[in-house]
Amino acid sequence: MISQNKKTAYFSFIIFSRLLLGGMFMVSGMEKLLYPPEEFIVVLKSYHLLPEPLLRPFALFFPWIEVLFGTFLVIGLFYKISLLMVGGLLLLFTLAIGSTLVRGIPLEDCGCFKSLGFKESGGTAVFRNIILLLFWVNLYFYPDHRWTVDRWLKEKT
Amino acid sequence: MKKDKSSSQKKEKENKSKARKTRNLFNRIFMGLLVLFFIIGVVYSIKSIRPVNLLESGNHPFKGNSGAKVIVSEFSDFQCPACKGAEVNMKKLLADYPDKIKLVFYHYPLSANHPWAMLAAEASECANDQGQFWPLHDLLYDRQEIWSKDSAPSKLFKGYAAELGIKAEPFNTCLDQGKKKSVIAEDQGQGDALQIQSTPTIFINQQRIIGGNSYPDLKQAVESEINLRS
Repeated sequence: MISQNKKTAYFSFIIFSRLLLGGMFMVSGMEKLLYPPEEFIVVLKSYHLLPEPLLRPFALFFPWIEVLFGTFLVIGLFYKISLLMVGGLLLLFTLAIGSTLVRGIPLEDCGCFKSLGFKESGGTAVFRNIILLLFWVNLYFYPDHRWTVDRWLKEKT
Repeated sequence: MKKDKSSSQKKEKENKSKARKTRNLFNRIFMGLLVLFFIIGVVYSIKSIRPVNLLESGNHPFKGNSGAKVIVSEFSDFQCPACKGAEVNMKKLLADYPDKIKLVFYHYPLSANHPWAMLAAEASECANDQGQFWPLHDLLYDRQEIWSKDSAPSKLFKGYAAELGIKAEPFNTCLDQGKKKSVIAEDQGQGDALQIQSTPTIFINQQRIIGGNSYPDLKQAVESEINLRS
């Protein structure tokens, strides 16, 4: 009985982690898509990482990747690929923000959820991402494919 | 014979499993595309509701050539330090392209961060009634650090107006009664529809430039619009 309860609790935790990680990317990408790309370009510029000609293409393309793989992770479609993509993006963001901090570039706002009215400093964003990476590690190393579209489709075919 | 049968059964099983895997992959791709199209639909249906035409500047205060084909629309906040910084570039643009651009001012006071920005915007519009928008505009930016720190700057604004020779009675009544609140709200509405996130946000015709602190960026945008329309 206890073991069953534990299993249910763990499965709820898995679902929560999926919703948290995927949902965060969905929201972050969607707000970038709904607002003019210039807003994201300004943020990217402040990171001093990308060359000028790449800023616009990156600002236009990148949010789609965020939303798409965030949604895939939430619904459990291409689960493994989505999980890898989301983890990769999370790591990329953490390294990008971390590198600006190391280089001593003042990052007033990481631009993660800018248009939602949140202003998040570089340090807070790195801390938040490290916590999220822990959720990701759990999802990756203890996979559970229940409640995924992948499994539903597998059972149908 | 028996071996043949079992090997062909094995092959058939393998083929079936392969076919199932392929079908499953196609189903997943199909589902993925559905999700993608759904997201595209949501994004574009929300983004398409933006009927703002900055090329018709109405009664907004402007400088430069009124008939110019390049309209520089500046959404600004009198209490914002970055806006004060951008003013230098705006003046430089007007000096470099006196006949080719029309600089239009829109109010976008960020009251959450700048408590006196709205009042300053109202003061500038009260001065506008007497054709003195730009002199007060310049003075408000010049003395931003002084009035921003004041606990009730309306007295200071009245003093600035007097300094500029603006008739005291109509200006003071206008400011005290908040007669220009609706004008500012209208500008803010336009700014909201344009999804302005920070000030200053400058539009050179339809090109959006955030910050306005890089003169080369502004110049390049103006040049490209001039070339496009000549």
